[in-house]
Amino acid sequence: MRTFGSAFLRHQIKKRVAATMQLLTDWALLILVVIAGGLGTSWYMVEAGSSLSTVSSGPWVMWKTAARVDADPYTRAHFARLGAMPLSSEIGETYLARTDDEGRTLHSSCDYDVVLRSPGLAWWSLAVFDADGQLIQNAAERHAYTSDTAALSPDGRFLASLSRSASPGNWLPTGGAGRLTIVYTLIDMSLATGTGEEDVNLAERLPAITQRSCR
Amino acid sequence: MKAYLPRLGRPDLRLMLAALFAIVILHVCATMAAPSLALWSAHQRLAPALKSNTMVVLPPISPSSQPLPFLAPDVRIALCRFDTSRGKVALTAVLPGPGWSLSLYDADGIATFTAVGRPDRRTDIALILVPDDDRFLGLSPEAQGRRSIRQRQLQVMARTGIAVLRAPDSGYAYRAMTEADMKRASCRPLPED
Repeated sequence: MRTFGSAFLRHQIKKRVAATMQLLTDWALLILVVIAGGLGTSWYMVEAGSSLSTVSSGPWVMWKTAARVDADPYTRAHFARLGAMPLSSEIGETYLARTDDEGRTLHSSCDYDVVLRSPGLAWWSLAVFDADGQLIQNAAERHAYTSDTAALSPDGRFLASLSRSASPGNWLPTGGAGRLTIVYTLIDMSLATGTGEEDVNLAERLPAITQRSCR
Repeated sequence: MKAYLPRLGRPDLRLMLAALFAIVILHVCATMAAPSLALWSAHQRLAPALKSNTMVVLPPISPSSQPLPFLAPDVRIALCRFDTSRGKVALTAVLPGPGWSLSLYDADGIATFTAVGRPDRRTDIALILVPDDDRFLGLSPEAQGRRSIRQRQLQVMARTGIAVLRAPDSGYAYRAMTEADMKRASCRPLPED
């Protein structure tokens, strides 16, 4: 009788422990899903953006309300995290590209042609950074070209060459930076006057990035 | 595990809704808190090195002197950390042409005022930055029956912030001229009227 009683007690304890473990597992799973879901989606929206907060065309991404008073929380968080002080999108457009036109990650082990088909009369600049936004150390001290300093080809296009080794024309050295980021900034008075011309042919207005070769 | 699997086939709708609701709440909280949790926002990087209410023209940007990420040497920068907690601050700048801009950023990196140079004319800017609270700062010159010499007055939403004057770097030949134009910009506390 005593043996039966202790076995029954053990069974009861086992059942309770199993039920408690089940409950704890359920809650742990729920909390894990909530944390991963909440933080993961927030991180993605802040880091990569979405059509709510960015404008994209090919590899180029621009945060629509950068530095503006009416900036959405994702844009505010993005630039606070980045530690950058962007030009207000009320007066200029700043586009970032981390891939080429084919979607391949920009890397210093490859050479690229960047072609701006119709530079227009607006002030623009094209600069190359590493993945963290740091300038790439190079002996030529070349990091960017602007509408003031770029040499245009006879047909009016701007052609820049991104490569480790020196090349003729508008060469932007990439050294051994690893992953690259190209930043294209455009200050256009038509944006400040709000003519809406900025929506026309976005792909035409942005430089094309083509991979030439890789080592 | 075998005992657990059949339970997955019968999802608890209330639990799923609660999880979804919690995900949304956490998503909103994390996004809203991100700017204040950022360890190195632009303001936090720049402010400690800047003297209050003084315009400083930074040296040309290079890999060894790059104050912020994604800041290229295509522009020269002049900065003023303005602080209106002790009174008004006068800010003047000249924007000679396209590519030039003046922006006032608050501590959250939001540009509360921006002006840009135009291709057809020189833009002279004269601003008076005032605190954003209801503090009485004395009667205006007009209220005292005098004519104000101030061209324009701007109510800045943040009490502190950074004014950024950007000038396009047009190349070595123009560097001295650009720097001279930048040095004409000023930022100083204003005595009471």
